[in-house]
Amino acid sequence: MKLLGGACLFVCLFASVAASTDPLPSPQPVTPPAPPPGETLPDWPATPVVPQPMPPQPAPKAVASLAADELYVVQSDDDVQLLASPPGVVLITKEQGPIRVRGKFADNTRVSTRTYQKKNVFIVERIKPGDVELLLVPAGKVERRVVGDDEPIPPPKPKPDDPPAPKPPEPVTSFRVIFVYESGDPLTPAMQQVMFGEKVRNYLDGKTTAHPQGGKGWRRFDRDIDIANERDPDLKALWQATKPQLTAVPCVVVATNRKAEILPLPADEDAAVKLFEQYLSGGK
Amino acid sequence: MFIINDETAGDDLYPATFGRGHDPSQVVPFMLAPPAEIPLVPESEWVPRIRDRKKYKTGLRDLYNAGRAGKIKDQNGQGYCWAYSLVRTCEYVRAAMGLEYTALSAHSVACKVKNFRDEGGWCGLSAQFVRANGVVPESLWPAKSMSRGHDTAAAWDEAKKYRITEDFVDLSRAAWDQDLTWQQVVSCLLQNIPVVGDYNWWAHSICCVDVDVIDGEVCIDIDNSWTESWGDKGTARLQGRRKYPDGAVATRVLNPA
Repeated sequence: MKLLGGACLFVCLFASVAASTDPLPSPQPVTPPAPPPGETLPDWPATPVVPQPMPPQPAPKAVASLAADELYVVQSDDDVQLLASPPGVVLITKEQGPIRVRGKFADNTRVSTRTYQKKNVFIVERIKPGDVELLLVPAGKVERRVVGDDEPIPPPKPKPDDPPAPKPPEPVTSFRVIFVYESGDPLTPAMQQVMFGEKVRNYLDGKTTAHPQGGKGWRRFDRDIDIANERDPDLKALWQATKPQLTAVPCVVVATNRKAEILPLPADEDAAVKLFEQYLSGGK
Repeated sequence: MFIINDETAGDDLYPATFGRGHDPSQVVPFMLAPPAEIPLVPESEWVPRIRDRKKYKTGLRDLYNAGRAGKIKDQNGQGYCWAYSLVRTCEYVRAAMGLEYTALSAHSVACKVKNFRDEGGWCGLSAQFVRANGVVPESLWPAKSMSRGHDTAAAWDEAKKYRITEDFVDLSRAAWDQDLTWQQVVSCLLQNIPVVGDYNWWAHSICCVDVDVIDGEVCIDIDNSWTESWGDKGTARLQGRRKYPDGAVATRVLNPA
């Protein structure tokens, strides 16, 4: 029997529960039925029919799948209950045994009739595609709780073809700033506010990476200065790397870790501090 | 605030023990022809800009108040004001660049220029020397020292790190005759370019640090070199006719060191 949608069925039986599943135990000896009244039947042989020894039944094989037109039956003399997880994939009908059931069973490809002798018989039928786990547990010894849609849902696992999640920003271990200007050209009051104002000055004094010999980690450089004797080797290297790239001045060079950018001068002191905070937080 | 105006008496200007470095006999004509390339800030913008500088604390005086420009200097009663005023502008330029304060020895400049004689001079003279040779740090030439023992090759090798590389100076005139116009002086100060001012009426040279407005008049905010015991902790404002310098140079750039 072809399986529906490749759905699989998993059966989990608790060891403490005595239960059996298809196929049935050996059939009982069969007695010929009495002839209906008025109907003449040929004589049966004189010797009674003696049941022949049956070949040993194979151990129940584990059933791994259940098609939509198949039945899966579990029986037990113990007081048990059969649960399905998740619910809604299969229909479980509880019957009192002994009971005869006719149908196509999960471990057989043809329609047949089977008798289930035990007290509790559970007939399982598929009603929806999907995996399902069957749990046979002692009655009354399990608490079951269904979690609805209003509960928090864990985030989905990334699929192989999903784009990689963005890396968290690298911690800023080095922060240096150089204002670059031409000392012979006039600065507007707004430019002076950014380059010389107290707010920016105090911010950079506190946030830039100081050097034991070089002092604060920020400067205001005329674009034509010679850096040969700068005491801070990192600022020296930064200036040597960025000076050839300078075009319009005034501008500001912002360096975090080993990365530097040349930016136009911010509009005012608040914009300048905001810009530096973005770099310092690793957001740029 | 210590204000020097047209009515300030001479006795209030000089401590008794201090020499007068500028020689009044060397009358310097008031210079009207400016060096051409200095960009001028229109006079209509001066007062608004000064108010803006006070609001955002963008001036060189604010750097001084923040402790970034060292202390008021002491020329030790000698006639070296013309070197002290120039060297003080160098310290302010370094502060404006964001460099750590290094005390520079004005005595190293004056002693070399005057061959260790205690004589007056002009800011053009000290500027010329520092452009060529630099200033020795006080770590190698202690303040106020006239000792020739500090005049070593090693000291002057170190001094080369503290040379003026760019300034506004009228090179068409002799050192004793170099001056800037009032408009140029104020424009430089509004751009945080310190100016050395030589004043004949005072026979003295001082460092012009900033500009201020007093009673609606634009004044000069100065550092003197007569210790913090003079004026307002060593500083003053020049007002009236006495604010106009008779000689001036503006120090723009030193290389970082």
